[in-house]
Amino acid sequence: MWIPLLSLIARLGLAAVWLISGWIKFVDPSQTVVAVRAYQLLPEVLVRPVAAGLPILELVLGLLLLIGLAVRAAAVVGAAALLTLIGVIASVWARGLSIDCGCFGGGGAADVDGWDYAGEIARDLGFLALAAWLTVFPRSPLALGPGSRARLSARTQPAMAE
Amino acid sequence: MSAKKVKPVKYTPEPTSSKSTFILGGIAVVVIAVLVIGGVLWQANRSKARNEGYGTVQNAAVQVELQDDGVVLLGLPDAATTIDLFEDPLCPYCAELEHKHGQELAQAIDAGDVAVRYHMLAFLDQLSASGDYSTRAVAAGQCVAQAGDATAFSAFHGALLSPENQPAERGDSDLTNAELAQMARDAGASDEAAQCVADGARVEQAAVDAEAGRQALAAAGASGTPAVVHNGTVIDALGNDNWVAELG
Repeated sequence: MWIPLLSLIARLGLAAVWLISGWIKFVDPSQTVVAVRAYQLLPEVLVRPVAAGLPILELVLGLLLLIGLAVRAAAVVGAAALLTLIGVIASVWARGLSIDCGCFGGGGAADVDGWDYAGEIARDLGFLALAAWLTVFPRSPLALGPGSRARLSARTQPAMAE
Repeated sequence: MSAKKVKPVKYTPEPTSSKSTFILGGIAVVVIAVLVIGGVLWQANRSKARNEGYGTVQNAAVQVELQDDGVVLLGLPDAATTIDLFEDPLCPYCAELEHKHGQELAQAIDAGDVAVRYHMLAFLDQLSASGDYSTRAVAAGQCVAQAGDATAFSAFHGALLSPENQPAERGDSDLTNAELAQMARDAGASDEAAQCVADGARVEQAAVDAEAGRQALAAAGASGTPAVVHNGTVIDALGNDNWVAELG
């Protein structure tokens, strides 16, 4: 009973995260390019494609989760994206760069310290927990996809390991 | 002999998917696909360098003049209108503006549609590895402009703001005067101009001029660089894709 409800909360929460962060990046391509370049990880030829593709990926994941279609797939891809972003922030921290992560807009050089990076990583770990939950329990009410739907009134739920 | 005890199955199968489920799912997939394709195309179109392939200023009749306060005027003598462009050589958004509109602007300059007054600022000095990169780059631009070769100045300005050359803010390194001089030579500047860059001959003057430029920027009401000012109005050059064409 409560698992699908938690899945619903996780699904809509993670959808909001992706839609908001994706939209902010999508509407300001110049800022996104500057943010991606500031990580100093990608060769220049890849900076613009990544800056253009990342917001689209985030928006698609957000839309899928919002309507409840292919929730497990969206959760898995989202978790992989979050792991990548956590690794990238850790790399910036380790290299002693001082940049705005550009996670929700912004980006480029900024006055930040280890606490900012630690906070960003902790926040992403929280989002990762939502994605992990949805990978295990993808079914929730108010979902469109056949494999993603659960009814609130269902007596028993498909359990993973029984 | 006794029948194997059947394990109770907790799994309750979902009701068989109905036709409407697949129709709704199909529609959703199509809608998302359309949004993705449309988004990719729109995004690619927006962030594309406008007038890609034109390069920097090439009309031999275009003139460059180093004016008071280190302002560099670039354009045909009878250009239809003039804009003021404020940039710091270290500013990443200035590089984005140059990437997106630099070639479009170069063609407008060549055609006599617009002349540009470049105000090169240096307020990002403290974010450069050497502590005075912006000032030295401004000085280098003045050396090249002073020599009076408009195509060389335009090429040098473009090179300064290309992502391949521009140092990172808070980066580990930036460019020395010798490297700036080589960039000037590559842009077609004279040996005299390149020597001026290598010697840092205009650095002190550039620091004064950059400060004057910073005050002019504040007076124009702009909040930072890059800023484009036309007829006393700050133009949203990074937000409005058509600002060059709309100068009129």
